Amino acid sequence: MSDFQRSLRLVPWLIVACACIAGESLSGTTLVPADFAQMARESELIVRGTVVNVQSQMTGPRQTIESVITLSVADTMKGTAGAQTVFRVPGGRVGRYRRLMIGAPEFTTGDEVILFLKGRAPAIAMPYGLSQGVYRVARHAGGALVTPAVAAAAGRVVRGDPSRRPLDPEAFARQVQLALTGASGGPPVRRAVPRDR
Amino acid sequence: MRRLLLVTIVCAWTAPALAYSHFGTGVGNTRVHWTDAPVRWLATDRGAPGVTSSAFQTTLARAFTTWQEVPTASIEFSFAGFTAAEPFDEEGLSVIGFQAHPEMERVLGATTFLFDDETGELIEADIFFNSIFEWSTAAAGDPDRFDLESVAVHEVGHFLGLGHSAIGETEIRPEGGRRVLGSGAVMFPISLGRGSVVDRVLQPDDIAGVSDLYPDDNFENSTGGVRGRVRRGTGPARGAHVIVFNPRTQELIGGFALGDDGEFQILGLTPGPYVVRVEPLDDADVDSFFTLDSVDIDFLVTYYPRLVVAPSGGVGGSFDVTVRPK
Amino acid sequence: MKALFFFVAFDLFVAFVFPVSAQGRGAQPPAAPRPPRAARMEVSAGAGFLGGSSLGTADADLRGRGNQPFELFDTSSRIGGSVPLEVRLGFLLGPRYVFEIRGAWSRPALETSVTGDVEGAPPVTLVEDVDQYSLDLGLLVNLRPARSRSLVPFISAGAGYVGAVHEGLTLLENGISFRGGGGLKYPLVTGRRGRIKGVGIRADAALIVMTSGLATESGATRQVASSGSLYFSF
Repeated sequence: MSDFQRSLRLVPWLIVACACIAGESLSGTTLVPADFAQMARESELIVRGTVVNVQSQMTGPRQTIESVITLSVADTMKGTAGAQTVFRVPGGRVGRYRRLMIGAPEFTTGDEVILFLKGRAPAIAMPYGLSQGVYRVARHAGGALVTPAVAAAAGRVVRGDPSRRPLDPEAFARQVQLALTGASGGPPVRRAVPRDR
Repeated sequence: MRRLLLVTIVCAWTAPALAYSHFGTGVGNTRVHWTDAPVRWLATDRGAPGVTSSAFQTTLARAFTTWQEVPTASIEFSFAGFTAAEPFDEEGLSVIGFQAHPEMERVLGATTFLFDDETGELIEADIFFNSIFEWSTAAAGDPDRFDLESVAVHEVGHFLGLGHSAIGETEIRPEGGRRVLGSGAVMFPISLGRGSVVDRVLQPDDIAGVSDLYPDDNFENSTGGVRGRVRRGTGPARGAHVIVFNPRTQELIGGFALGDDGEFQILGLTPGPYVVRVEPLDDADVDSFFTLDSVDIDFLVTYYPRLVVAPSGGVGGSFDVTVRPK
Repeated sequence: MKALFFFVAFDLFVAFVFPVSAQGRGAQPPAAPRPPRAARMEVSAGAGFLGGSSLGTADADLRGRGNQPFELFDTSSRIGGSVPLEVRLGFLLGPRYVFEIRGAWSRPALETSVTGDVEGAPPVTLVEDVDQYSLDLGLLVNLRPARSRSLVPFISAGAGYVGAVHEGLTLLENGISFRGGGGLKYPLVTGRRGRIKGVGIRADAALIVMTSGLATESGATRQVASSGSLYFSF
């Protein structure tokens, strides 16, 4: 075992870290993305909520750094979620060491997000497609908008398409229902929880 | 701490330049940048179905050479041997290998960095290729498998510090899934699909990026830059994608308006007049390019109404591109 | 640069016209008549029109999965027409041949038209104003001797330097030009005694071919030029 590995083991295994990384390009994956309907169909849980905790830890047999994020759930669009749900993303900070996976989304306490999560217990779920299943809610004086916009229809995806605009969270939720209904042909698979105010 | 084969120091960089420049993956105010040469890397001592460890190493070596041979950049890599270590092991080695990640079923490969946050030191960089996919090292590619070298060239671009390029067009297929119609950079985040080998060859955006990060002696004096702001109404259009096109050389190079006031700066340009085009990232997984507290995507594709000149050995004066709202 | 040009032209005018007018004053003793010395130099200044020229087309292409191009948009560029100001200094090598040094300045617009945007942005023409300076050496051949009030056709050719200064003084691009054409001179006054031997007007037409400079990467440009000027011979 290297000195470096020994130094990591000396770090208390449970360290709460707020991965507050200033926004800059952290992209670094090669993706085979799904379309919106496919992502909705293949996700086990689709929720909107606010990040209340980010906890980094060493995990797995090879002690890799990852972060477990706790989300206070405001709305569940698919699947079953309590008042809170947890998910994980690669990377984070343990002690003085920070692991970044390029392309993995980053979260800080207070972030409002819509997540498409995949993964069943006992495994902790992850965002679909690493970052593809992460939509951010930006609140401003006029309301709230979800980005990125939804590109749902088949055909070329035109940047600047006037018909594709950022949606408010309620309209986004309707898009999710449309995607789920269209895929299954049946009633929407959604279970509501008390909405956040 | 005893250092193993890899000792590197990250160059500290001030925030304003980092916020504007398209090139360079960063951590806060620190840019990912190898300063020691050669940059050493190791390969895992096992392959994947259809790819032996030897073929894996040979293919990776070609990918590193592709970047190393950029004439306007100065960076050197060195294969340091096979290892039983794995990518993401926190052992101070830069390891590249196959790993099975079924939970990342949409991810062909990814690059990670390990930093010492107290010193800013870059300790290691690892790359994994997801072995849940079928891989090929065939010279002409395999129509049913993903070309390892193409994906490796992309991931090595991250390894040396480049971010994603957003120059590309996609479509939603009727049978589901999203496909790339064309891309303007190997560093575009979405794969061109099984069988394609074209991303073995760098494009001008990639070359400008690596040259900006690791310039050779002549690069900064012989190239220039353009800078400006993207505005929508009276406010900034942050997160706008800016593409510049040189009608003489047909180079397409991109950047993002990441400054608080919508500022952008694109460097590494052949001197001369450019077409400036601004578009919203309203089709994209924005998190794969950058993280901003708010991104403006509510505007139409807009051209700056004048040709903008990149000088030789400098950056031209700032100009405002006012985009049209949707 | 413009100010310098006018300053030099004015100085030349003052240097030669005032001494000519002074020679008429004062009593001179009668002397045997001598034929007037032939003119040895010509100076002219004028303006004209320089036609535009195509700089070619270029597609902004992305790379498809099979290496086929996927067009993002296409462009077509040209140098616009302009009104050059020019001055010439000619050294007469006999009644027919004149060695000329020609300087000119013009301000053409560099235009790039963008069409076929894949995202449906409307076509647009992007413009940049460029200061273009040229200096060339050439030979003019009069096709018959000059006589007062009689047209004198000529042919001329030359080659030289063209410098293009982009907007905001951001970039200087150097090129080479080749000029060939002809014109007509109309001497208003010939065979005068004194410093100014003659005055006349001339009209030039030429084809100008430029390489490098604004024509970088697009081959050579071909521009039709015409000008009118006033000349003085000394």
